[in-house]
Amino acid sequence: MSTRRPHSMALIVASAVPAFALVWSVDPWMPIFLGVPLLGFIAIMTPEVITLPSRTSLIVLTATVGTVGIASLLYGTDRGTELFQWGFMHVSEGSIVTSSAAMLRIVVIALPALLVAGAISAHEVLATCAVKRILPDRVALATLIALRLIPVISADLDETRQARRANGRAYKPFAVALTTLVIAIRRAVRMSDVAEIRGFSRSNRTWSVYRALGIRDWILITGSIAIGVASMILVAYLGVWNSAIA
Amino acid sequence: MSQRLVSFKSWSLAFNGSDSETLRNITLKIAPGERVLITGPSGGGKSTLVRAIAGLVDSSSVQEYGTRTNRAKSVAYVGQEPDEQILFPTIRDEVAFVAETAVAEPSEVEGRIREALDSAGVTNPIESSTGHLSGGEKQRVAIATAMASRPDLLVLDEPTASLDGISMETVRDAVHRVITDSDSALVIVEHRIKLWRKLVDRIVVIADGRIALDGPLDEVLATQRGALVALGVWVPGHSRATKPNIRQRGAQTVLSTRKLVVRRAEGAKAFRLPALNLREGEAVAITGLNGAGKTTALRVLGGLLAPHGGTVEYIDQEVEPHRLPARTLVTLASSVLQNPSYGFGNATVGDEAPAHERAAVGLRGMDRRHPQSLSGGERRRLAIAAALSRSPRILLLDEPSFGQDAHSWHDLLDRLRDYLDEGGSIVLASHDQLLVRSLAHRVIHLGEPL
Repeated sequence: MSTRRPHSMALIVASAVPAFALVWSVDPWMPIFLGVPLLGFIAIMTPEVITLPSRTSLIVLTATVGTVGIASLLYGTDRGTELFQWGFMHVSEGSIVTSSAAMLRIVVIALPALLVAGAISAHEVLATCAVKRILPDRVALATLIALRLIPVISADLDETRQARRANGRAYKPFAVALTTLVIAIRRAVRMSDVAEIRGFSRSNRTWSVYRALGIRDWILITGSIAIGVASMILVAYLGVWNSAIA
Repeated sequence: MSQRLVSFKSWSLAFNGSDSETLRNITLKIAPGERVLITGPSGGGKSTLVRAIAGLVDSSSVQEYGTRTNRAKSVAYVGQEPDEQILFPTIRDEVAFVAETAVAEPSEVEGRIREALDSAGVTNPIESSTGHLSGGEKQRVAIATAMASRPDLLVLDEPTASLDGISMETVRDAVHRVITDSDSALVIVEHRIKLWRKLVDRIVVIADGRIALDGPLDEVLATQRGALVALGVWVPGHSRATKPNIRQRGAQTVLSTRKLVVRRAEGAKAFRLPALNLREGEAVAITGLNGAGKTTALRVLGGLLAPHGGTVEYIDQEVEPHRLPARTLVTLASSVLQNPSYGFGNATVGDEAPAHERAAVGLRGMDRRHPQSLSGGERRRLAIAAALSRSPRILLLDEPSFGQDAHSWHDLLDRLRDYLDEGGSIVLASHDQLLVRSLAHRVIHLGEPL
């Protein structure tokens, strides 16, 4: 078996399958029929790239799931026996099902992406887009440089805030953002000089990071899509399909 | 066969909207393999010239007169600010960006990356994140990246400007290695002749937009010493006598700390500071290598960041410095950050600081210029003039002598000594040992993090 690292494009496609499949039905079963086998399949196919989500990611995921779940529970469509009612808030058998389905969908959409995110190389993705002519070279390179600038601009924001205080000016978010924007533009101009002199516009780039998809990558892509399609067929066969499109 | 990579003949440059020419009547030739040091007073036009040599002049924003010719097939450029030399998230990506256009086949890229990193002495793992490198490491990666194209001409604009002494030497050694192994010509802008003396064979002094001196380095140092000193060049073995600051200190403590621990941000390294009782009229220097926590310490002492542990107290103030309103803070403690560009809030130099304070630090005749249009050294002096104009009891300075020529350095020192005489107190973070010896009564050396 090949020991080469899974291709970033394959990981993106596999982890994006739930987002496309779950658009079609809002029943509570599809997330289970899709999520469980898909997560298992990804884990079996690419065990070396699975990493536990960071604490911040888990906090964001929990907060999102909790907010959507509570909102659906209290304000979702009433069906079946009403279990609790206070003002506009109703909890019924139907709203419990809706809430569970909503929470499950978010988990199934987010979890595969969180598990493989650490193994996705932006450089490999953009190199593939450039070589396959999905993006012009300059756009792919500029995107990579912009990614590097995110922490730099974040540091600029801190620096601007402290510099204002050092000059006796109170913290005003708009003023800080505006100053940081001006500094970021000036920095970008200087960095574009550096990029240009290093060959940003040259057309003879060999894109050494680019590599073609391997057998395992193709199995990962087709297997993930197959699981997505199979889960939809199963839900329809069981008669629990609940079309999201009226 | 041409014996010139770059040539300027009676060449002048003026920025659009400027009343005067930044560079005037420049005639200069650089031959293959030549090693040229460009130096001169702060704000004299060195960086503009070196950018023109590298071909980085934006013709839409300037007017050029005379002739400028560049025959170099490949030019590499490394600037002053380490963060602006790094474009990609990993060391490999950074060097590959150049290597990928310098070779014919993808399979040759890895070899070229290794060659460039080895020649510049970069020993960090190739997949390391560039975001976590120190300033010196970033500059060495930038030099490796520059050399990945095997350029005809390597142009360096003050590559060690923001580095400590050890990092300066490692960058200098990296340049030495890559130049020794190649036929590239080298053009370097620097104030420190001593640091680069063994690497260069020619010196060009730019003053007030003109070439003031041009010749073999050893010959110019031997025969034009007086002229160099008069121009404000830091001449090896010659620094105006700077007596230690032994003037009397006041009795009153204006700033005190207790069990102070500082940390720049959540998850960053923490540093413990020795107890500090800063008296009026006293200057204390904080020293240490890049990354030793000097800047963070200065910001905590200046009320810009909260302490991670312990306390900071100002004279007659019950409120902790970081909780003081900004307007109150600056009358007690005024901080000048290492990069003053973040703090300018006015459109002209004249609005940023009063004329007498600007004149005291050697800034004259530039009232209507935008603060951001000044050279690095001039911006620092302007920020110090603005801070002094608020008459704070404590002045906190982060690397105030970066980019200063010998004249402006002494102007700055004189003004800071006057401020101490007036009863002000200074906390200073600096790699400049001459400044520390000339100004500080005491030195706090920061070492390993907790």
